[in-house]
Amino acid sequence: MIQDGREPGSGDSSGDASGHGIDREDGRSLRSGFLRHAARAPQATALGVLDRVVSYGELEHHARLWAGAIVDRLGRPAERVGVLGHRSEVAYTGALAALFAGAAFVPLNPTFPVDRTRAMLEAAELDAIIADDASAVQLASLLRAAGRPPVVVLPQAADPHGWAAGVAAGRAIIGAGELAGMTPLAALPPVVVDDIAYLLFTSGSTGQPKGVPVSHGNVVAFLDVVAERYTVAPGDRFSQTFDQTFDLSVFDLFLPWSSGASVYAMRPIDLLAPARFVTKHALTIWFSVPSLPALMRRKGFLRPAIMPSLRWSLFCGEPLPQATAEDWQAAAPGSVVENLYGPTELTIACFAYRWSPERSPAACRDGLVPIGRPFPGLAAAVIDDAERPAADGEPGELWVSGPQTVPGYWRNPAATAARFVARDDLAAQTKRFYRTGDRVQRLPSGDYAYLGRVDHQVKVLGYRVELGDVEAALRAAPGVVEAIAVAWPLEDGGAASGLVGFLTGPAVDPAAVLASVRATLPDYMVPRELRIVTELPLNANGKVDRRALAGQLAQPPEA
Amino acid sequence: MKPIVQVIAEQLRVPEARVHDELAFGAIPEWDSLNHVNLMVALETEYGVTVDEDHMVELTTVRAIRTFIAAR
Repeated sequence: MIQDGREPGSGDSSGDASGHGIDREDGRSLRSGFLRHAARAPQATALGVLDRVVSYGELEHHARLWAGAIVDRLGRPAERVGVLGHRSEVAYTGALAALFAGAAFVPLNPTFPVDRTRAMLEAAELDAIIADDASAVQLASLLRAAGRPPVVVLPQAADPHGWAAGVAAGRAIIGAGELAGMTPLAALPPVVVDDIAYLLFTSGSTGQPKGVPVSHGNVVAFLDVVAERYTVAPGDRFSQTFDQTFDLSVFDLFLPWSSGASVYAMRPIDLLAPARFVTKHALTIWFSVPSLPALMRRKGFLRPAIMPSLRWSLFCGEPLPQATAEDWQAAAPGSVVENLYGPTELTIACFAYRWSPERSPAACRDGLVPIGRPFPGLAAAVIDDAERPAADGEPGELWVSGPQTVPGYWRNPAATAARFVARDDLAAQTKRFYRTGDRVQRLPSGDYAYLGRVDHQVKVLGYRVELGDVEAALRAAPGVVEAIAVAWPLEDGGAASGLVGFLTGPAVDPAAVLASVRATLPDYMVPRELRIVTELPLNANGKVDRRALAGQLAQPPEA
Repeated sequence: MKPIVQVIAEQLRVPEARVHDELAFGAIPEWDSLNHVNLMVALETEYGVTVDEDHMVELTTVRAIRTFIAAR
């Protein structure tokens, strides 16, 4: 089955009559919308973080200042700038500062193990790193082993040179004192549509994080669609729920900033009481993984009409259970509920389904809300095992092509060739399709339903996890011979809230294994439970029978 | 009724020796979002209290939990 959407224009600015889209004057980039609104209304609120409210003018000033410091020390525009911080003003401003310096931003999460972040840092070959104070200690250990000395900006540090004394010499360290004496960057280095706007690392099946570079053209195409779809206006107030290492955070930050609206950052604990946060900040647009409302439901927090300010309730990152959609709709009756779908390789989201309390319950399959239809301008194809278009209505792998398809994987031609394929028989002309690895089916209504994965990728609380990545870390632990990871426990609709590791080995110590994997994997990838078994069950094909292992988890462990 | 330290240790899956008054949400990998919700549900079951959204956000240290339960 092939669906070829409207062809996008050849870079012209038509279709933006709403005025909410991206400013074309700055070469259609991720930063241009922000700049336009900062010039128009510098006093307007851009960001709320903890107890601080930051205006467009203030945010622009800081971002230009930090960008100026980086360009000054490098003597040229930057190519890639790391941003190390967690839900902090520095982390949010840092992404913008990187773009102002002409660079792609590379989000780094200080809650990740140092070894994993170091692998990303080295793969990205950063020109500079901007870090918040809370991350400075980790940054020191990250930099000790870094080959190329990046410029380091610590905007909150009064005396960064004392800090730097413990780090290898020869790096340009810029703290609050130096920044105070510097001039904001007036003329920003130009960027073009093919330049990378951000570089993210996702879980890779071989145990190495996989880089996904997203171009300005990719993300502008996405923002154009969603700004129009959600009629975003300067009065809108967005939630900020996603970690910045997750590409859905680009929606959280840059859709409001491209539209003159504001965004309110949630602390991890706020995510467990969303209605309280929505009410406190009178949010109008909510965007999160479905796991959050599922937790609210469990605790009885999703009560009718508790979130009257919301006008859009958007979910993405994992399958949306019907029960969650129904309860959220009742809790936010003035909002339209949508289920979005899309891998990082297709830039944030590329399908959407609009929930209707009357019609949608009948459209759900296995308790899951459909993923809807492709965004305008994208071509979608359902492909069978022989890599031919499946008959209409038959299940198959989803392939997608269009302006949101990223250039490929970061410096990984083999992985790129495996997943990005040119086909001339699936669309009006030869197109580069991304093979999503997701099994879908086109319903008679024209909407698509998500059926599962074709491989061993799972979602844990919305985070994308390759089980092979976890298993590689488990096998590297002392005493482990074989290791299999299984997504468990499963919540409504089949999304997982954790992982369980099955291990073989004559003298495996679970505590030692956990300590070992915690040093290499982020928390959400660390198994919540380890089970030592004498052997792993095999299926008829001689492969490890993951289904049988999942079945064992339904039983209590043997004493 | 179980002692508070035992309930917290069970829900976070850590030895009771690691549960002290200053221990806080996010300070150890085991006290994550999912286990925090589990812990709040366990407090309701064990002590017959109601944990609302404000409590969910405020009961983020062992000390705060102890004070909350003692006041019931």
